[in-house]
Formats: sequence, structure tokens, C-alpha cells
Amino acid sequence: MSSLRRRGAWALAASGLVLTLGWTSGAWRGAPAVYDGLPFNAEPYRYVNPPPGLEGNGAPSSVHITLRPAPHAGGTAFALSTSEAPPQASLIASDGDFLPAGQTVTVGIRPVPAPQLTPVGRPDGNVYQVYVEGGSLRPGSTYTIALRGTGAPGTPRLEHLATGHWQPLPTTHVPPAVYSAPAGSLGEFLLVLPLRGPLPAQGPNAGVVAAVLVVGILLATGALLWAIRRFRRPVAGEPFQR
Amino acid sequence: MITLRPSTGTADSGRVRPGAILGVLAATVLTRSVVAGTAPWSPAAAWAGVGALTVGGVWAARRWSAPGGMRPEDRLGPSLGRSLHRGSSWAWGAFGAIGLVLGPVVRRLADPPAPHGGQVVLWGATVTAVVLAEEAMVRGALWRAVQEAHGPGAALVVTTVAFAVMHAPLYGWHVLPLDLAVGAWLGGLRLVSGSVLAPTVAHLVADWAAW
Repeated sequence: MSSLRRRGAWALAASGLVLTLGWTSGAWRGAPAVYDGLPFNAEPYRYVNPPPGLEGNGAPSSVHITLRPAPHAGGTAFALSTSEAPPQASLIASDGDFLPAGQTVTVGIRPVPAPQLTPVGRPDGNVYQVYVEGGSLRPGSTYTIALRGTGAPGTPRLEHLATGHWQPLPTTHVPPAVYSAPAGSLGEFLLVLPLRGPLPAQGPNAGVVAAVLVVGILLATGALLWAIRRFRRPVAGEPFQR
Repeated sequence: MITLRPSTGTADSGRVRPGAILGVLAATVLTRSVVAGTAPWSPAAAWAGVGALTVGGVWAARRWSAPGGMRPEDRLGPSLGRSLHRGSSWAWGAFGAIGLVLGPVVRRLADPPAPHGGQVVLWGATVTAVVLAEEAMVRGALWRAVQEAHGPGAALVVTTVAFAVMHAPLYGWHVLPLDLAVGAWLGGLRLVSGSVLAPTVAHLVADWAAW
């Protein structure tokens, strides 16, 4: 094996070890799913009531807009997003989705303290309230609400506090950490993680899967290195590096 | 120890100084950051980032492919045929891709994600443009320039750091350890395969796997 290949193998071994440790320890759980793409979870989650150690993340932001609604359903679409990067809460609607009491209506999203009524599952982030001042949501209209997850393990779903219960919404995952759903009423929204129960009988244990994959990759690496060393003949005059 | 290099005539005309490549890299990152500063996650910011990277990548590829800049093993055409014959660059690329997607695959097996929204074709095209531009700049032109001046070890270190730092302004400094490891992994593939093809394949597959 040439000096260059040896250096490369060392670089692969060291970086592969770091990557494996990072993924198996969960150190990069809040990091991008892989390495590029749009967008990534760039800013630590801002909590209304931060868990110990996360007080320094800052306070979550609110956003609102005052608009003159269209006189009919539909109209011009608009989007509202809180100022975190990426936003922790967003709303997409049309100005025709709102009925003003006067000339204008104010639509907003704000983080609120968690209500006494707790969902079945673990809250994944803040409760956000969608509100309208000076008007109301037009009956039959729907808008899109999107909340960002904290990066905690598990797949959250959006739930809406309505008629005294947290009700699940048909949630769509927008990679890597945003979850959106259509909503037909105002009020409180929250991402909820399923409760951790016993491992499903047919489901793979993540630790076992990780161990099997790590052993597999090590064996594959060894086989690849052996094969290259065994079968690769030097090419005469090969312009390999320097 | 000082090594005197004989003049190589026209071969030197295409040589690019490492500082020039790093300057172009910094300009692309700065462009992306300035636009993203007003609305970090707006489509305008995203397209500005992709556009700046693409311009930088095309510039780097042009300089890199000039006489004296690109070595035969880096040329996609001959390299493609030779690599298919030898299989090593593609094999290393496949191996590198497996290593990069291992963690996300385990995570997805443990916690299957909800159905995705969005446009897969647009995502794929965007990611492809970003990867090709990054590889042309970082492990193509920059690698070659640093290697010519300071050797392959320096090329590995400089490109690893550049790769990690260029991602930080947009994605946040908390991704630095991850991207340092990934940069070293891709640089290792460049070293063992002797071609930029292997890290490009690995990078592309890993980014596509993010969907």
C-alpha cells in the first residue's frame, strides 16, 4: 500500500470512528439528516419554559400581520413565520380565509405556556397559538400550520387543542425537522411524540441494528482493502498524485 | 527542506494559487450568508446560496481543467472509463456513501419518519448542483492547488477545514464537528482512490439520502 493510500486509510478510519461515535451517541441528533440540503436545523430550539441547561437559547418569537381580507374565499396567499432559523412556527393561508369585523384583521402566531390539559405523549417543543384579532376564520376555510421539532428522538405529530382534547392532525414531515398539517380552526397547536413503550416485537432494536451495521461496515472495509491490495496491479506510468 | 521545482512551461499556466480558491470559496459563502441574513430560510436565500456555489464551482472547474490544473485521473471522461475498468473509484465512492448514510439509516430504522412533503425532483437537482460545485471547488481545484504547493497531507487538512467552515454560516456552528468528520472522510476517499470521483459519488448519494 502506497504512502498516500495509507494516509487516506487512516483518514477514513479516524473520521469513520468519529462519525460512528457521533451517530450512535446521539450527538448529532439535532444536526442535519446528512450534510447538505435545504434547510437544516441551524439554531437551538427556544423554549417558553426551557429545560435545565437550555435557558440560554433565548425566548421564542411571535409574529403577526395586519391585512385587509379579500371579500371572498381564496384571495392572495401569505405566509407568517417566527424569526428563529429555521422558524419554529409558520402559518400559510390566504387573506380570503378571514372575515373582518371592520376593515382589517390581525392574524398571528405566538408561543404560549402549556395548558393544564396534557396530550397523550410527550410534548416536543412549545405550544403555539394561532389567533385572529378584529375578525374570525371564515367558516369552511383551512390553512396550513407548521411547527419545528426540537430534534428529540422519535417522530412527532401535530395535535390541536379542540373541544377539550388534544386531537391529532394529518401530519406531513418536511425534512429535516418541520411538521405541517391543515387546520380548520384557530387555537393551540403542539408537536407530540409518542410515549416510549416496550420495544415492538417485530421492530428492530436500534442498538442491535447499529451494532450489526457497524460490524458489517468493518467487514466490508476489510474485504475492500484486501481485494484492492490483492487484485490491483500497478499501472505503468500511472499519474497518481505525486 | 526546500524543494526546487523546475519550470513546467505551459503546464504552470493553469495552476491556481490556494489563496485564490479559498477567496472564491469565501465569496460564495459570504454571498449566501449576506442574503440569508435577512431571511435565513427564504427561497431567495436558498437560491442565492445555490447560485453562488454554482458560479464558484464553474469558475473552479474551468481553472482546474486548464492545462496543468487537472490530472488525468480527475477527468470525468477518461476517469469514467478507467474507473469502470478498475472499479476502484466507483467502489470507493460506494463504500464512502455507505459510511455516510449509515447513521441516518439507523436513525430512520429506529424512528421511521412521517411521509415527506415537497418536490423530490427540485430537491434532487438542487442537491446535485450543490455537491458538484462543492466538490469541484474543494476536493478538485483547492485540493490540487494545496497539494501542488504543500503536499497531500496539507491538502487533506485544508480541504477538511474549508469544507466544514463553509457550511457553518448557514447551518450553524454546531454542525462543525459533524462536517469536519465528513470532510476528513471525503478527503480520505480522495486519497485512497486517487480521484475526485469517489468523494463526489459518496457526497452525492449521502445528500440524496437526506430526502
